[in-house]
Amino acid sequence: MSSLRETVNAAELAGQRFYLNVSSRFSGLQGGGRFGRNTGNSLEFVDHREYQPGDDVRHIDWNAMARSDRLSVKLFREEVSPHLDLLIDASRSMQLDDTRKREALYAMTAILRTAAINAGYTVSSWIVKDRCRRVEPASLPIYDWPGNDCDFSGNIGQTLVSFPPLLRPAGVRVLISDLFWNEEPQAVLRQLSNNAALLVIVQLLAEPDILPPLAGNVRILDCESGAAVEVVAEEGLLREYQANFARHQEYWKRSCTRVGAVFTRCVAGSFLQEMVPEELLKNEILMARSR
Amino acid sequence: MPFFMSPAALWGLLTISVLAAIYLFRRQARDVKVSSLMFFGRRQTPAEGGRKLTMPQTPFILLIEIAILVLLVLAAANPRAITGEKLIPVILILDDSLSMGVNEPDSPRTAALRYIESVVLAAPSTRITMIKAGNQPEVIGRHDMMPSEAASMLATWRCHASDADLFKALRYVTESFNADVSVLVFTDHQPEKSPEGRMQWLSFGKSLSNVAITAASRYALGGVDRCFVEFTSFASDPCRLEAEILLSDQNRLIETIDTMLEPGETRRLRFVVKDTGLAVQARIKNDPVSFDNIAWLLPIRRAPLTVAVDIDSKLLRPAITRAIEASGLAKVTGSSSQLLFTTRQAVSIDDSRWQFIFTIASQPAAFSGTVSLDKGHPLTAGLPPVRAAWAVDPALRAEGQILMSAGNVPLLEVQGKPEQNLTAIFNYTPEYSDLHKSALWPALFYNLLAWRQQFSPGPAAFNFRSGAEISVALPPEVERVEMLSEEGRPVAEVAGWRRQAVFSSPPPGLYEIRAGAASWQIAVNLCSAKESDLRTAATNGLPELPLPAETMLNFADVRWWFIVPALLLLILHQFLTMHRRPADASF
Repeated sequence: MSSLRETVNAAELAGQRFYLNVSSRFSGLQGGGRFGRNTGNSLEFVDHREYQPGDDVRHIDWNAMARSDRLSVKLFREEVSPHLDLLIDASRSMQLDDTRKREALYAMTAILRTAAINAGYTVSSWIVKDRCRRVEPASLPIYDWPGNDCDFSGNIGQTLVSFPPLLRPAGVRVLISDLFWNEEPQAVLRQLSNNAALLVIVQLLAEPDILPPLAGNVRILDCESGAAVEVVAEEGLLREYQANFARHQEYWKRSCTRVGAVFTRCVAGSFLQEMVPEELLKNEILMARSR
Repeated sequence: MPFFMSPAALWGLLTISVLAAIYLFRRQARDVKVSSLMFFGRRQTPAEGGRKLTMPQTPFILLIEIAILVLLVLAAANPRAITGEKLIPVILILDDSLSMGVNEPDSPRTAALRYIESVVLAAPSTRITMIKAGNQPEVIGRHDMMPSEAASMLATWRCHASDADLFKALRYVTESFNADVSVLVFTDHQPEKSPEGRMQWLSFGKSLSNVAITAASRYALGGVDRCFVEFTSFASDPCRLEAEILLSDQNRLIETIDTMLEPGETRRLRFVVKDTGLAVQARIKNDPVSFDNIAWLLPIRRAPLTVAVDIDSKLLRPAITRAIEASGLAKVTGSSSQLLFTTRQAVSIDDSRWQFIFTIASQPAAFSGTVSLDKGHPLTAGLPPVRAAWAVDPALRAEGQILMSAGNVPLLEVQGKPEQNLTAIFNYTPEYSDLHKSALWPALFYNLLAWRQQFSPGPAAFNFRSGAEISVALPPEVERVEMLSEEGRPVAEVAGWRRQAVFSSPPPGLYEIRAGAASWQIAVNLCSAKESDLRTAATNGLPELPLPAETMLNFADVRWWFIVPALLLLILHQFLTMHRRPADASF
């Protein structure tokens, strides 16, 4: 627990460097009580710039045109009311032995939550096991969340499809999971992306998930179901594993693209070293705060 | 079934346990937890079922590896195969002398039999020839018997011979068999020098102190019989001799001996028996080794021959009659004679009657000079030189076997078969001769009568040394002759040939020989110092497998029987390990 606490604290500290992007390209975001970082439809004037085709003609500054014979438009501060729903996979596979996957899970949660708060988001956290349970009060430190131990041995995908959480419409939704379940991604993605401003899938993996440390005669145990198989681990087996894994990952990516979701990947070990969610930054889900 | 020339290599089979240990160690699966088995595809099995079902599966590659190991170890043990006719030839030379039967039931023979049955006959792939080494080597059964057949024939080895001439038996083996045979000699004493090559000397004897009768004889001298008995001490310390001589007439005691004998000392006893028709028994009373303690001397006098003299010559007839009477072997009768002396060329009707024909010349020629003599013939053996005048018929021509001759003139010739009606022709004209007054005359007649008497029905002698053949002349019309023990139990039966039958020597004792209506009693006495001397008997170390190792070198090297399958299995092993499905746990 102390390790988790330290990791979460470190992640929250690291999360201060980021903010969750609040952008009009997240088309679902509605006007709200907070200004966004971009220009928008609020009444607060920000700047002028030259007219570009497609600009709202209502924002053309006619006075300026009369003075300079040039078409320019007024830019106003964006006004948003953002909300982030964090869905956290609490199945056993997220607490794989000899890995820091669970720490990485909550570190990622902490960074996202901190970045969201930095960007003015309201945040709801959902722990997904056999049901999706919202963490209340929301301000509760992560390491004190009830049910934060990853001990569910069922199928998270089935829970998300069969017992979907009551997510706020037009909010940003982030699912953090290893996606190791046998459920069609479309069903889950359809459920989560419905009425969402943005859906982000963060596949959190441990190094052994990418390349299992198998050598010689081994008995492979599924940490969720307890199923076992004895194999002689050799190159062929590992090749087969990696091929299956890559196919699975590719399938999720394509499915995300199809529903407009963003698919990112994170490896626990390297992530915990730097506390930098590189792929989220690359996809501009998170933005670095200027000092 | 192969033999292994290097059985120590079989210790290599212990490597199987090492292989099995390595295999089990390698098979001990390490548990690895993964987030999901979904990427391992079809190899998912339920945990419970997998554990229980996978482990008991036949470890095929391990079996192949064990088989390869076993085959290579067996090949390293240098296997030799013996099949079909290629069996190990083993010759058993069995000491058949009486000393092998001493101290029954713990006799050397019993110990040797036990060893033969448990070790020699149990040895695999042998063909056995058994030779009884008595006075003459004698093959028991046939050559190259299977062990079961040899076992059934062993009962005929009874150790009754007065002597075991082992070296004669070995010479017989050397001359009759190949050099690659293994020879096992079973006896009761150590060899004079260590055997070499493929001969093994197995001794089962035990040193014992013994006093024995080593000689016994009886011979006629006028109206009485003279007897001779010799006692010898074969003890290592001075010992007492208590012996007695009995007549069979109600065990009448005629001599006693009670004396001390030094080691190796001999005491001889001579005595006269007036009752020539009674048997004499000599026996030692205080010796526990009993096989040589008794000797029998039966009456030796035969029924006299019946001889007829059909000669008119006043010179010749008394000379013949006197010579016959002097011999003590015959009596002159008028009719139904066994031998006829005549001057006529008569034709014998009785096929067992002999004739001695004098050829008297009407115009004789005086003979002087050297007489040629066949000294090997029973009729002329031992005759003194001719120192007399001899008138002969110079025209006589020989038709039979010439025994005496002078130049071209036959003096004595025989025609016909001695077991039937033999005719002797004597070229002699007494009126001009004085041979009948010389020493040759009675000697010639003794030879003739003794020879004739040999063909009278009955044994050649009445007292035999153990080991000697017992020759019996059969009465006319009798084809078979039987030997009975003292208790009346049949001991042997043989068929006659040319009115003669020969028994091999029975053990010492009294026997009755029965031929048709006639019967005779004989005695067989051991009288063998060599057999009675048990001081040198000993037991040597008996090997577990008496066959020398080089015996097996003759047979086929069959390492390829094991190496070729091992190579094939290696190829299969390589194929399976190279081409099995990835991570297939069933191998």
